[in-house]
Amino acid sequence: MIGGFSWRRLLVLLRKEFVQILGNRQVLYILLFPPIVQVTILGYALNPLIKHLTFAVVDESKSPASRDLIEAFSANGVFVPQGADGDAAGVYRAVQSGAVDAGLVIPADYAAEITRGAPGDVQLIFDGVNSYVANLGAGYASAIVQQYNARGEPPQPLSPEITFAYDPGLLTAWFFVPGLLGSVLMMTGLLASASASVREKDEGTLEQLLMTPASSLEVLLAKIGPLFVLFTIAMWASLLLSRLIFGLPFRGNPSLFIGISSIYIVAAISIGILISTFVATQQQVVLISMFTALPLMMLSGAFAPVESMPPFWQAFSLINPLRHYITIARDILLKGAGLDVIWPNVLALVAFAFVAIWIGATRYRSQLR
Amino acid sequence: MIQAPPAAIEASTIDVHVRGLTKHYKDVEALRGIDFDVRRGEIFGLIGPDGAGKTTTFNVLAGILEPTAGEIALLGERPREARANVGYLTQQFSLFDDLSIDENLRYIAGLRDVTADAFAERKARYLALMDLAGIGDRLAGRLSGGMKQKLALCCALISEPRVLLLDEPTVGVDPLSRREFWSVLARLASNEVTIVVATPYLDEAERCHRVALIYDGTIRSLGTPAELEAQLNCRRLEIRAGDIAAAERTLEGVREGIVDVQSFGDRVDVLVHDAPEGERVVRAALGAGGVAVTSIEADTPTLENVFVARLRELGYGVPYIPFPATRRTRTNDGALAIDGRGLTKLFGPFHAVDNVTLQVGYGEIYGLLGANGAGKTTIIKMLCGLLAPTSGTIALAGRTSDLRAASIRQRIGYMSQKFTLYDDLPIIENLRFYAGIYGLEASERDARIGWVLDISGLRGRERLLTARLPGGWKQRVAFGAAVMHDPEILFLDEPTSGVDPLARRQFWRLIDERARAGTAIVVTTHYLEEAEHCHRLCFMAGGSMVTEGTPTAIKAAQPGRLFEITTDAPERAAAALVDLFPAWRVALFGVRLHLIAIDDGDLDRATGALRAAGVDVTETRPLPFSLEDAFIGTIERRPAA
Repeated sequence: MIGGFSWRRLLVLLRKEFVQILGNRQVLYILLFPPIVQVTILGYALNPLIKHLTFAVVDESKSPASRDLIEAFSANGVFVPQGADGDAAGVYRAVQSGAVDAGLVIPADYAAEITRGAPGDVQLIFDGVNSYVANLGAGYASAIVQQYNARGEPPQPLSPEITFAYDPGLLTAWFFVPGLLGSVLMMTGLLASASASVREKDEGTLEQLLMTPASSLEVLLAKIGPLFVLFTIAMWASLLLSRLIFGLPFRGNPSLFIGISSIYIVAAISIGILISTFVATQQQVVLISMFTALPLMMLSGAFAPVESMPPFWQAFSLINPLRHYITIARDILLKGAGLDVIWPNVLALVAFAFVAIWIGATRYRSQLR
Repeated sequence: MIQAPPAAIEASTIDVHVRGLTKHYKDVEALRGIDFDVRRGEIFGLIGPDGAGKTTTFNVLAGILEPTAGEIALLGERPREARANVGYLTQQFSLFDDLSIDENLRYIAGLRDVTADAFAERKARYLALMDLAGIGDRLAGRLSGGMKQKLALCCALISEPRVLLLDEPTVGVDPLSRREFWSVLARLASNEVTIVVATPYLDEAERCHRVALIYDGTIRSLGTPAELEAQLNCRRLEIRAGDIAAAERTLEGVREGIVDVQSFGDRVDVLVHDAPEGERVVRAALGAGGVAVTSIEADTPTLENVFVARLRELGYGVPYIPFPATRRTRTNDGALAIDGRGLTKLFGPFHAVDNVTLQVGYGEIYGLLGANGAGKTTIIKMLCGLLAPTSGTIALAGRTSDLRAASIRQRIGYMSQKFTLYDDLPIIENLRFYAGIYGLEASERDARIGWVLDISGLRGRERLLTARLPGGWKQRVAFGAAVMHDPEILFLDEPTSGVDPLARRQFWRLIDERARAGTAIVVTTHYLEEAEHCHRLCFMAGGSMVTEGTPTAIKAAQPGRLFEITTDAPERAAAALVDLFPAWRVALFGVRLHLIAIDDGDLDRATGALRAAGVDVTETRPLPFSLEDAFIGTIERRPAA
């Protein structure tokens, strides 16, 4: 039931919400700290940098060029060569049995191909059972090959089979920070707003509020206000810290990113308020929020690529605001993309915020027993 | 039923010993050195205005709060060590709503190391004592307020404590359940359980062996109710007149020969030093004021007289300040403010409200009275649009459709039973919030907020966090907040619950005043004597309206004649009379018995039975029916559902 909107009443409601939140130091800390601390700590902890992958090499070429390539692989400490073990089949078995993490087979004609100026083919073997190591190892290998190519003396056009659209930054915390930021904002935003508005029900003040001329929309917007300010502060702080600690790049337009983040924060808070209209107590809020936020996070691409999910869940993730936010964040921060690329995702976020607020406002009045 | 009057406890053991108890909070001195002893098997009452320090005293006795200074011993031990033998019933319901009666009891028994055998035996005994037997699997959340309080008492008793601490256990409990509750207390005391109890109901406090009047952190009077009443050194003239309000106003103007004037529902009590001389003064004054006197009777003062007179002496007043209205008074033109017809509300198969029709005009005060769970709150919620009726029609201020519209809500005031201010906001912010949300103009707003602060005596303390106010004070602020926007229709659900007697009088003056200004008011209360202020009222039971009418008409419709019997052993006397007459004809009012005589010989039969039971009858006198008599009679005469 929306109608009879009054700015003056909204201001009155906002003032009340701000006084309530600012008067409670504990809540203030609980809301501000997790986003900031979690992004930095988890950014470290989940940093997927791996080192010391054992590495069996079969060098059938036995040429200076092949030794050069092996040298390039072992130089950065990611791969530790474990000698040659006969032939390609032997390396394959060693990888399969788990004796080594990876194998590199350099064919006998490698040097000749290189000298001919043709691309030299090498074979990289990973154990696909541990797909995480396989993926990252492959990523590293391809990066190494690229660097090796770039050295250019003598010109050695080596063709890595794996290509990445953007950047070796993929292999650092850069990749995780946007996902983490989005997840943490979703989790705390949802929980904080849901419990703030269900508290009115718990304490019986909701009845009184419903008896005043205030419209549902005014009440909901007032609930969003202070949380929005707090989480915006938390977002700024997290980004700043990520920049200082991880060197997170801002390749795109920062104000565009911050603007879109604000929309995302509103969406997260509105979903929380929507949840609060379905439950009766604070306890239920915590449980339902967990139940909602966890799948949203896991199916968002924050930790595992959406592309690796079954088609149904890939489609399902389209109604997950977090997925859109992460796409936007990576596109803007890491790729430097602009609105021309990300507008469908932005549109999706705006739609989420609107729909959640609208349903919330409609349900708000009918929630008394 | 065995009764141990206090005098019979010879060479008694002191179970609760308090000397120089002082408690300072950061900026408040809650207790300034109080002393008292409670003997074994004694019911010791704590009475006093809101915020006097009663709850602090309980928290110290229960070992929850560390006193700033003082010597406190329960059963010879420090409060924390004595906890195993002490049961404490706090003001908030301490039950788990989502556990059944049995599960609540088992949980508490488990916490308190009660053996399985003892638990089974005690559970059966106490549930029977409280009339809760046979419904052990019902969820606590589904119980009515009175049943909840009785269950909470059971929980406190399950470990068979030797000392019971009860902080306002009967607030929000209906008059019938309250009577039963106190009968249970009397039985426990006769079994040597020591009881310390606080209550804002002074008729209940009459049933304590001794009472202490606390004000401002100090005990101002201590003794048996009879001693305190004697200390007042006054006689009480009970005046019944055509126009009670006019009689009160007239007598308040008299300076000579009158100590105090207090109105109680259908009568005015005047305290005088000498009865015949006082009566002469009263008759002269009322005659000059043109108020017709129905009757004047001299009697001893009641505890409520003591309470009001002593506090007025001490300078505790709850000022009456007229509402700073800006709206023109609406004349009662016969239009209906509230028109609810055939209202029914089903919760599952349960008829919470069953076909109730209720009409209230502008300027009318309409009272909804009934036991806990009778459906009063459900009716109010339906009338103000918070709850959709299952069937029936409602018209509010002439509108029948879209009762949730903002324009309608602007004209309605609602004070719910549950406390409705924001605990985490300062008082002033709460008031600003409600003033703002109803869109009061700046000048109007300041006047109204000032008015609320004045009537609640909080001027200068407006920055205090609302959570830190004592219950009765919160209630005053909540009342102020609900009427601040000068609604045309006002719903008050137990506004005076837990409020001290002086503040209750102030509430009712304000309610009267709002009604005179044309506001339609629907109010519920468990104080039947207050209900005399209603222009019309109804008694409800089991979701239906049992009786409706003006207070006078309802009282006149009562069968038989009413007699008050004063004895030396009220509990025993009540038990003896209940054997002789149906339950609806016998009721305990404080320490006096009310008997409804249908036949001429009934009174003689009663006094005869009492003498045979060894009870000394000190006085019998005929009495006009009060609303409380009418209520108890009506509800108890109802055939059991």
